[in-house]
Amino acid sequence: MRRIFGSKIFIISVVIILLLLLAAFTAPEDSKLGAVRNILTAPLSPLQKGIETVSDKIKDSVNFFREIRTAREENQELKKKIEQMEQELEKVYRLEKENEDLRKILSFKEQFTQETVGCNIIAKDSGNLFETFTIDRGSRDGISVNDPVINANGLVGRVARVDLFTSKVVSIIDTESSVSARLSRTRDLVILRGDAQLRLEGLCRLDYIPPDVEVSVGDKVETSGMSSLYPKGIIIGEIIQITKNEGQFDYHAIVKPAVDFRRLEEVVVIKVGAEQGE
Amino acid sequence: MRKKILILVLFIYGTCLLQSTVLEFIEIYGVRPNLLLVAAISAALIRNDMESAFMGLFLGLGMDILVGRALGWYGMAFFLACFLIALINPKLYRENPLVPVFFVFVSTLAIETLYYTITFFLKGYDYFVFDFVHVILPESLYNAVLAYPVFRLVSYMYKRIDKYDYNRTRL
Repeated sequence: MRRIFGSKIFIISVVIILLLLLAAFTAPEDSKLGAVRNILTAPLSPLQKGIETVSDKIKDSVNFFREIRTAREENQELKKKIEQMEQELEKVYRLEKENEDLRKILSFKEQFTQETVGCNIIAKDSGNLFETFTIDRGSRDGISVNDPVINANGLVGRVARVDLFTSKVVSIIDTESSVSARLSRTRDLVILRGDAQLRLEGLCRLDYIPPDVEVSVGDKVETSGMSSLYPKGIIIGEIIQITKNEGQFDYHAIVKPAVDFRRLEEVVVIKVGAEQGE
Repeated sequence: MRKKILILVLFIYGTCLLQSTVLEFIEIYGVRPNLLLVAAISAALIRNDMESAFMGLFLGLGMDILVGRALGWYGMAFFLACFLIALINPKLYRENPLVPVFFVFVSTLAIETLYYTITFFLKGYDYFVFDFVHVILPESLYNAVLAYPVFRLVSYMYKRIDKYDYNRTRL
């Protein structure tokens, strides 16, 4: 009997069975057993944060010398732009006021009523097959699975796993991501997916564009609000190429996200789950 | 023994930390080497079968946590690969730098293909050839480049651990 339990084959089989069980139980994104991950992520997060801060500083000082040459020209350009924008801003204020009044009359439900939390990215995807990154807020800060993640430019992705101090975000260019989207101009519903080939260039694809839709390069894409995941009207990106599917009626397009995933440093998480959950 | 475990645990944490932060800067075309895998295979070339199998298991679970999907697939792949390599390592001439390079290259190909098959292929996702050429193969080559320096580092670590154990138990 002792020989059986002591044998290597026995130990290996037991470990493999345990691993299979572990994989099965941790496969759902909100699995309770996922708390095991805190063993690694909790002590690692302050160190990752430290390294990320130092490397940002180094990057900044390297870029400082590079950018100082172009700074003057850019400065003048920007000044002109600011003048223009100030004028536009006046108009926007007026419209906003008007919009608010009209919404009140119609008793429209406000979008983005949820609380938001700003986060720093402390680690990029460690494997090569996925487009995920780690942010420095976790369940302790009220983040939950499937919360949408945005930044100033547009949609970044959603929270996929939550640990105590950190969370994993899957970006919209990940191959397993799909977002219910809408063409801003024509209001048609489409589906935005990550693609194995396009993700390496930071792009994603738009599927199921019906043949009767007038879609053109440069059209903006935004979230539709049809799925409960993402709030309506978040900018996703811009169409840069349209292709007809071979042997089929519909089209697909390549979308350049408004967010530059290679230079992402800070993001904002909208705490949808915290409101729905409790 | 206790100190040895502590050193190995710190080693695993340190590798995970490097993998998730510093390796970002040596990415080539969006592909970064898998330091945890290289470390696991290096350990498998030096130690006996059960010890390296468990070293592989914990490094693999670390990789699973870093990647952020279901836990266990990398763990299992590393565990088996390390066990098999450690079974034949007494027959190898370890001083030859080509030995770690070869084993790291082959096991990266095998492990990443297995992982890909489990996470994507079984879901009916058919970009295998593209991902193999653009992700798995470059990663294997990159790992192979790192194999010898990491192997030297890991063998140095084990040498120090053994020396410490020997000095303590000599009396």
